[in-house]
Amino acid sequence: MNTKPRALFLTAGLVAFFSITSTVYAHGFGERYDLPIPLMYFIIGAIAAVGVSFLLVGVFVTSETSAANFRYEVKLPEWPMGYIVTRCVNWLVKSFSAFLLVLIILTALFGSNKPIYNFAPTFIWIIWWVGIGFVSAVFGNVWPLINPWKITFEMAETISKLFRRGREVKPFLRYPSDLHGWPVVIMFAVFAWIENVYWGAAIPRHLAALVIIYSLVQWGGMLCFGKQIWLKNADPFTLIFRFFSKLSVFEIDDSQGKVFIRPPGWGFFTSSKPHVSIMIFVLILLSTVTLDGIKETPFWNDIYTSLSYLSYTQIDTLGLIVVPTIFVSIYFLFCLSIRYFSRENPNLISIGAAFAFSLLPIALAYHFAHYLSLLLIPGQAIIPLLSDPFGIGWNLFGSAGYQIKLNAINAKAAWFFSVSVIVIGHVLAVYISHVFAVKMFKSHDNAIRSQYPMLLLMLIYTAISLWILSMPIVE
Amino acid sequence: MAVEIKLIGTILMKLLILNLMLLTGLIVGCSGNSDPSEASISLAIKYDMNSHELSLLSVDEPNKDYDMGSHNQYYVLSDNSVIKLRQGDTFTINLTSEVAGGFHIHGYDILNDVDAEKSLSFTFVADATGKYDMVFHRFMGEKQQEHGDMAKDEEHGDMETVLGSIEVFPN
Repeated sequence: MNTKPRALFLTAGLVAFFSITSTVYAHGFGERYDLPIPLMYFIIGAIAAVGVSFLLVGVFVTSETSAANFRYEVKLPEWPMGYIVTRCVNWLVKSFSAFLLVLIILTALFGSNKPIYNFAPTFIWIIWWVGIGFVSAVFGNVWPLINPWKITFEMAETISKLFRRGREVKPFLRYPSDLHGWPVVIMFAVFAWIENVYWGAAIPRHLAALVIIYSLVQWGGMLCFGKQIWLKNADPFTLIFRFFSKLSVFEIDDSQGKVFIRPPGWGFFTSSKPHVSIMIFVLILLSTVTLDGIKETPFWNDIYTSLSYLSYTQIDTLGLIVVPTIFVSIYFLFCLSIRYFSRENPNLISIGAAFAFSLLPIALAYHFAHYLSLLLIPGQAIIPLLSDPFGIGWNLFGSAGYQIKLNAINAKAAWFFSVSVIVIGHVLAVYISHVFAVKMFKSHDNAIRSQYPMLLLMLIYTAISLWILSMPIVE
Repeated sequence: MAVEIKLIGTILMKLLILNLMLLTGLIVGCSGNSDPSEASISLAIKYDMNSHELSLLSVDEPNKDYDMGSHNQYYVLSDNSVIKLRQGDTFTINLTSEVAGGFHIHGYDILNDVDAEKSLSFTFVADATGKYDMVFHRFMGEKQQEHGDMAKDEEHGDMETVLGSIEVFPN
């Protein structure tokens, strides 16, 4: 059953929504050609995950570990004109980022309404959403430096300061402290629905509306409550890209303009215990990343078939409610057993929050494994689109005729990358969780014991990630 | 501090060893000797008048078993047609169709028009690994109601059906 549900929805929905624009072309946008990982890779990956877990437990049992904060600042030698060059680079990056936001809105509004001929869908869904995750994991938290909503807001601040004779723009509302990170949870839930369920997510006109709404919400929020507090509590991407950057060897402190180097993944060890809203955010992130993979498997296709009286949108929406609920329930079940095994009696919510970040490496690893080939193969579509962003026959840089190279990554390399990354993510998760346990529980023995259920949970999660990768992609 | 660095050092060493083992395992487990080969298959696109559904059949040897160890055998399933190839194979498809349309292999972007009851033959080198859909755009005189797997492509005023896929495996 090679149905193309999105294609059907596009056609059906567009008639209702956009009777003026006549053409729809669903297939082709972000189309994936991945082969599922063979059984051999699955087995080796699973054995490696189990083996490494036992090895790490052995290390933990015989030694005292704690997370020291070792990182070293990278200092550039002072050089003449250095300050001016830095300012210029900073200014160039910021203007380019603001320019891209304008370009996306313009192309999405006025360019071709076919996803594959318009700059906006490929840029937003592949280059930005998938790409910035990879970039953050390698180069550190670059998002605060290039966030176009923050940049445009700062530009507006500067301009208004000129008109107000140097007076700062003060937020006119106080962010309610009881609200914590709940706005980010709601916003991410909406984003996850758009990404995973909404049929119009790749249609330029719909993307235009979504980007404009998101921009207005972000600018409005920053204006009302203040830039930093809003971005921290209500911008899902600031949070997600920060999670990715915890894997990086570079730690960027944008408030002080400093760069540190640290061991990869070290960012997780130094994370403080998040608020319960952030814990829920992390669990929703984990479950939607996994759901995104499950949705492309024959298993999900069987669900479509067996629930044929519901529409695809209804089934996917249900999935988006049910899967995170299952994740949260299972997580709390394991938190209960952590408490039982530790023989101490901390608050359940407190256990949940303390270990929330420890599952992140598995989810991020799955994200990389799942999306590497998407970035490397369909992501190449950005090359011709740069020359013809509106899809109207331009050839600005001479690359409009570029043909996507399918062998940019060989299946064997992709399999090896996927399995290795998932095993490494698993190891990091086990290690981080142990460090958190040592911080949390009074005795070392209690901490070690508390990790037995956690280890089981992580093995299950790793196995699910591998299982999804071993399924053929059915779109 | 020194103890901790040492400890992390040992962990990283062990990880490295494990990953090397993983790598060796994968290479040993998955390397088969395989030289690129040439092969061909004869396919027929059938049209069901009642259900308006299109299907792809292998003409000469339907449902022939595919053996991962050898290269000259191809497996065409009747329900979900999959042709399995090795990377580097030169592959020829001889195609006949009961209806007129364009035969398209996604990714490789091979697009050939075939007339009703005529045959068509084309050859390509399967140089990129992956799973690529084989799609048929049926030419229509006038637009018809959407049906089943088909999606309307208004540019050509025809219908698109996914017939099956070609899976190219790495060597």
